[in-house]
Amino acid sequence: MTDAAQMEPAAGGDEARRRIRQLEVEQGAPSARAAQAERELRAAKAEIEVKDEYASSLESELEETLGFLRDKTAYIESLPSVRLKVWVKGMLHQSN
Amino acid sequence: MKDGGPAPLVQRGSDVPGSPLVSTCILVLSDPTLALGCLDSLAAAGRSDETETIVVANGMSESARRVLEERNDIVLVRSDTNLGFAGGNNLAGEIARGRYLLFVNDDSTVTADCMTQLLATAERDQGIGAVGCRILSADGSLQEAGSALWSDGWAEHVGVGLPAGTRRYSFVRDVDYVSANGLMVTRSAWSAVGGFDERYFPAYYEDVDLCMALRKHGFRVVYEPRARLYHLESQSTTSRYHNFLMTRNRNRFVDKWKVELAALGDRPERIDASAIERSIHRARGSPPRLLMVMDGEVNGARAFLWGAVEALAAVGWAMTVASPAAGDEPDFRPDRSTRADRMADVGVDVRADVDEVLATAGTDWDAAVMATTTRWRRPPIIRADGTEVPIVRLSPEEGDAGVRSAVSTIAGTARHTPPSSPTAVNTGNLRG
Repeated sequence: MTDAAQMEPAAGGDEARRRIRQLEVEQGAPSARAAQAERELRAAKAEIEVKDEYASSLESELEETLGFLRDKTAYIESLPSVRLKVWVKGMLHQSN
Repeated sequence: MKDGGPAPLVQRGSDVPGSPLVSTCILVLSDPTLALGCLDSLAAAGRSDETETIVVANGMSESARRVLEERNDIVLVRSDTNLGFAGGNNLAGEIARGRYLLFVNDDSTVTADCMTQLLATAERDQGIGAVGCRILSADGSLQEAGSALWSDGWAEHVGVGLPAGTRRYSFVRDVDYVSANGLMVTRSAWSAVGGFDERYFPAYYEDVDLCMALRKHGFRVVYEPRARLYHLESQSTTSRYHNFLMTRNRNRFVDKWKVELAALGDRPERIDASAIERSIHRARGSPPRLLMVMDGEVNGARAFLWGAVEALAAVGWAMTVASPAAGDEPDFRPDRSTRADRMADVGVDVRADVDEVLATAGTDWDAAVMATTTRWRRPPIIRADGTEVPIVRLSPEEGDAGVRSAVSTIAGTARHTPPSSPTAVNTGNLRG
């Protein structure tokens, strides 16, 4: 049975168009190759967009983490015990 | 590129049938090893004269693709770029000749009658647009028995993590969505919604979106427990990129479907068994729910009672049968000839763990039937709103008249109206 013979005569217009399109794709017709190139281009652009968004999300996450660390460091340095330790270390350094 | 021009986009194997009923679509990204196992399982499932398998080499290198190029039993489609899950499957869908499209992941294997079971269910009702599998992990534990969705777009696989051999969720039911692994879609439904939405590139949420679109177009999305598929890859991937994609695509999904999602329930703080039960019930259209407890002392009347259950389920009630003996009932058969099959077909949830059934808060039965010769010694069943579930005694020895009377009583106690009056049930059907 040829490919064309597989097209059922009773198939509606949309169905017939779909099957013709199938044949074009299967046989590598220029229009099918162009459509594939468009598909690949769309996917490549989508990938760039996703990766850009991912990079931005990582940057904000990093900024958030650094901000958190800065706050924590400031808090730790403000603790009396830590300040005392720093003062003692300074005094010892001076006496040496 | 080969000598004499570009490599063909499509290579149709000589053993592929020209007019298949089903087109199975598989995407392969890199290593084809797992895909070969998948193809073997499909071949073992038979129906080779009715099935074409379309493999999209979705950005594969030429060397990795070679092993697929040697096969005569597949339609190999080449895309030099990874088109993503939606794009790759849409390409496969364009080439597919079957009346049904079956999407399978390359890291999965289907059981021998998986496709037959999916087809049998898809062909039962023209309103069915998609049928999904019972997805198992490599160790046999349950990975998905349909999936639930909440208004914030959060999705959860029903039954995930239940041990191998569990019979939970062994009934056919309408669901919010089913994953696109072992998902059969009718050609008409696929065309109506235009395939997968490629904006979810590269992956995640395109199956949730597809099912949402199908339901919006009036198609049913159904889970079929007898169609089983093993998903071999671990589900525990929690890489940063994976999480990013999940969140990103969930946000896109919510933006697209905010009106429809508003009709779903709010996600509870903790998704426990009760939350899943509520979600399942909502996805089934919130029919009246009836619990029938059969204890071991009514063995002589069991067939009679099962007939009553089947008849009530057939007129639209969501039936749960809790019977300690249910675990000993014969399981499904490929020809769907067992009672388990008949119950699954009409959506009856058959449970052996009576205590667990009664303990699941929020199930909110409309009524309970105690089909037992002993006195009810359990505490009252209380609904979430604090009201008590009415309990009706059903004595098998009372015969048809007794069943009619009990059914009328049930109908009177139910807080919802079933799709058609259960009193109209031909009591001939109630004889098991």
